[in-house]
Formats: sequence, structure tokens, C-alpha cells
Amino acid sequence: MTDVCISVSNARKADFPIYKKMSSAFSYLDNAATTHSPQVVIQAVSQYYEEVHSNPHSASHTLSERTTGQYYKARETVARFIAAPGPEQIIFCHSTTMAINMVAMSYLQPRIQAGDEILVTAMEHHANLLPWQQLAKRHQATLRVVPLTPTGEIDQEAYHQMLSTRTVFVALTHVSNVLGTINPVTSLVASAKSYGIPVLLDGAQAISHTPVDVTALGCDFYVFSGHKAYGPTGIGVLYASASAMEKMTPCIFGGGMIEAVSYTESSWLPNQVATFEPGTPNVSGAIGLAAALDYLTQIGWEAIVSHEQALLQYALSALDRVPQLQIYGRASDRVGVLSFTLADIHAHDITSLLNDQQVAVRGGHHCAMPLIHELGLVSVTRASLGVYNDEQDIDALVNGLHDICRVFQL
Amino acid sequence: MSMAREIYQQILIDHGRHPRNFHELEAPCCSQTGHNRLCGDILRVHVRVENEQVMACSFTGHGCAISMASASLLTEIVRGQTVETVSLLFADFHAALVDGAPFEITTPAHERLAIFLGVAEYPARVKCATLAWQTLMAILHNHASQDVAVSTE
Repeated sequence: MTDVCISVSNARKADFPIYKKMSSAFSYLDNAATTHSPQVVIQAVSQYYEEVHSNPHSASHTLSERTTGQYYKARETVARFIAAPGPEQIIFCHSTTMAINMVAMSYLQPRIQAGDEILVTAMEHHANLLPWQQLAKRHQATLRVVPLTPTGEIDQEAYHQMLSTRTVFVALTHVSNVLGTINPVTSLVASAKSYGIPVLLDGAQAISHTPVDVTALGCDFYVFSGHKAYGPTGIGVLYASASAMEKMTPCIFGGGMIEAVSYTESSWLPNQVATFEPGTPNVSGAIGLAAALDYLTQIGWEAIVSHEQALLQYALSALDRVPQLQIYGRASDRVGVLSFTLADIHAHDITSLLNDQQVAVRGGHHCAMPLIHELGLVSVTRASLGVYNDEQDIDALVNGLHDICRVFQL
Repeated sequence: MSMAREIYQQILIDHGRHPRNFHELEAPCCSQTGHNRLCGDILRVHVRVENEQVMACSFTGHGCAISMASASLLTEIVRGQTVETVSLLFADFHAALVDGAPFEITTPAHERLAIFLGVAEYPARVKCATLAWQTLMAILHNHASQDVAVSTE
């Protein structure tokens, strides 16, 4: 089993040019922040620039037509990857952050009223907290925060108690970027829907680690970023169900979305993806993202999940043997996101010393400041796994941590 | 030995984990908070200046080993020095870390600060090494420009 794990992932590393640039001892364990891109993604992007690059939607010439076609094809690939009914539900934008802000402005802002309640959880990334917090403030609505259990899971009893006829929106992360917890989104969405409450799922940390079926989930919105799914930065996805998209009002205006424009009035296309993508879109980003999703599909979910879960178990037991190391988040259903503290050593001392050992991890509040404070901490160190990681990477991390214990004379 | 590990020498670990003058100062004194937004570290520097001379200096707060050790050493180094000497020392230290200027060991204080020079290789950590110093300089300059008598908060 162990041998298989190593050989599979070593073969995987060969797909990623970064491993040709860095030394063979390089251990990249910052995948929850940004994943590296395989050669097929880089190639798809550069091929687009070398052979196609033009402006979509105007289609007055051959290259523009090809650009439009490839952009549309990318939309189809994304729709297929998350089992959306079709490409007409896939809005491309910059990022997860942008997608959530768009939902806050386009969907909820026009209908929110004083006294309404928005429900989030205590484990949200700032991207899925601030847009709702600020919207609630501006409209004298209330942001309610569902607490967590000691193992770092959503307190489902509290969640159900907090859902009410006052709740106008539920925004939940699918997977925690700090605790690694995979939330039971199917049942959480179903409970909200039983009250008729629209639900957004933040899939930034889920999209490359667990299969997503938005149709089966029944969520109204599902959002994620390209750069956490082995794709480029600057491309994000906002899936909106047909009924949710109908209720959206454009919040960003410009070319490409309009029906007729005068100096005083404009009318825009009836709600469709183009209505929410004004301006020239990030075509190369969409093409790169589609190539990344195809790459994941080619590996297959069974192989991805079994590899990452085996490595996660290996990492958990190896980290548990490091003295004075505490892992935050002990959910049974989780991905390979490992946040920890080592004695009272500051996360930035740990990351600097690990960086010296060619182990790339992240230290800080991980854009989840309220959660980190609730844990009684200022910062944590986070190691996060991807498809190319192997046991050698975990060994390098653990050896580095033992070395830090020696430096700090623990 | 690797670069970062070189910085984390015995003396830095010692001062980082067992900081000297880690307390508030009794009045009269000036205090100022230094905040490293990158990591959330907050240090508060307390200083008593009489006749342009630092009579006492201490600090409180929390930070990484580098920022704690730098603050701890600062409180020892600046005590008894004139404001001008401290300013010149900081100018040399800052130039070495931020601009990569040569750092000449001209005084015992320079010698003690030399352990932080390796931090220049890690731009993200330069602020850790200079946080307490920047905070102290804010107090001293404020004090000098406004000619404020030592005051309590």
C-alpha cells in the first residue's frame, strides 16, 4: 500500500513543471492557499495565447469565433465537473471572493430587509463572512453564526435551531480551510430548503478534493476558484441554479451584457450568464481552469480521494508523534488540511525554519481570524495536501518540526 | 547550516523565550503600540527619557521569537544611551536590514544587533526584527519634536 502511494504520486509530480524547477527535496504543502498547475494547464493557456487569443462575443472574425467557442467549451467542462444542469448556469468571475460578493450584491441586497437573518458558520473564510456581515450591517439585518463542536464540526443541533422564518440566506463552507472538516452539506442544504431558504456553498476548499454534484445538493449557489484546483489565478466560478439566477440583478455593468443603451437608459439581457459577465472575460483563465478540471477527471475521484485520504492518515499519525504538537480540527470526515501549533512557538518562526528545509507551509490566521481567536490563538501553521504530495513530503515536514523542537530546546 | 537556522541562535532563542525587561514601566513614561498586521503581533514599548537620555525601557505584548528577542535586546541596548545615539544605531540597523547596506560593528550595541542581520534574507521577517525599534523611534521622535515632558498615558 505504502509503495503504491509513493510511486503513484511520484509519477504525479512529473506532471507538474514546478518540480523540475525546485530541488527534488522540495515539499509543497500550501495547497489550500494555491495549488500548482500541471503541464497540461500551462500548455492549454499558452496554446490559447499562441494560436487563438482574441475577443469573445463579437465574433467578427475567425479568431474571435474560436475564442468564443473555447470559452463556451470551458463553461461546459465546468458544468459537467460539478454536475450542473448546463453551461448556462456557470458564471465566470475572478475568484471565490468575487463570486460571493456578487451573490451578496446581485441576489440578496435587492431583497434583504431590516430584521432579516443571514446564517453563516464559525468556520467561514473571511470571503464568506465579510460580504454577509457588511450587507447585514447596511440593512439592519442580523448575521447569525452557527457554533462548532470541539472536534471542529458544525453544531447541527444549533444550526437547526437557528434556522427560522426570519432566515433569508444561508452561506456555508463546504470544507473548512483551517480545520479540514467536510461539512455534511447535503443534509444542511436540505434543512435550509425545507424552510425555502436559499443556500450558497463555498466550495473553494472542496472542489479539488471531493466530488461535487450541485444538482444533487440542491444548493442555489456554489462557488470556487481556479487556483485552488490546479488552474490559473484570476478565474472563479459562480454556479447559480436557474431559479436563483432569475432573481439576480446585475451589480457590475459594462459591455457585453446589454440589450440597448442610450445616454440616459440601458436595458440588459434577460438573466443569463452574459448579464453577469460584463467586460472582456478572463478567457485564458477559463481555458486553463477547464484543462485543470479535465486533468482531475482523468485521474478520477476514486484515485484522488484514496490517495489523499491515505496520505492524510499517514500525516495525522506522524504529526501526533511530534511532542507538544496540537492539531486543530478532528472531524471524522475531512480533507488533508492540517492546522497545528507546536508548543508556544510562533507560526512564523515555524514557517521560516520549515522553508529553510524546503518545506512550504503557511502560518497566520488563514483569513479566518474569528475562528483562530475562538481557538484561543493568534496564528496557526497549516500544512495542506494535494494530488502530487507523497509520504516523503510528510516525512520532510515532520523532520523539520523535530528540528525546530531542537532549535527551540523543547 | 541553513540560513534561517543561523538566525535562530542560542541568544535569539534565549531572548525570544525569556525576554528581558518584559513588563510595563512605572510612571512617568511614554508608551506606544507597534502592530505587525501581517501576523497580528502586537508589542508595546515603554520608555522613560530624561534630558535626551533613555533612563529605562521595557516592553509587553506577544510576537514571534525574532520580534520578542529584538524587543528584549532593544530594551537592554538603549538604556543609558542618548536619543541621538539610539537614532543613529537604528538608522544603521534599518539600512542593513531593509536596504542591504553594510553593517559596521562600531560599538558593542552594533555587535549585539548583528545576530539579526540574516533576517535581511527574509523580507517578510524584517518587520519582526524592527517592530520594537520602529515603535521606540515613534516615541522618541514624537517626544523630541513636541518637546513633551515625559508623560503617562
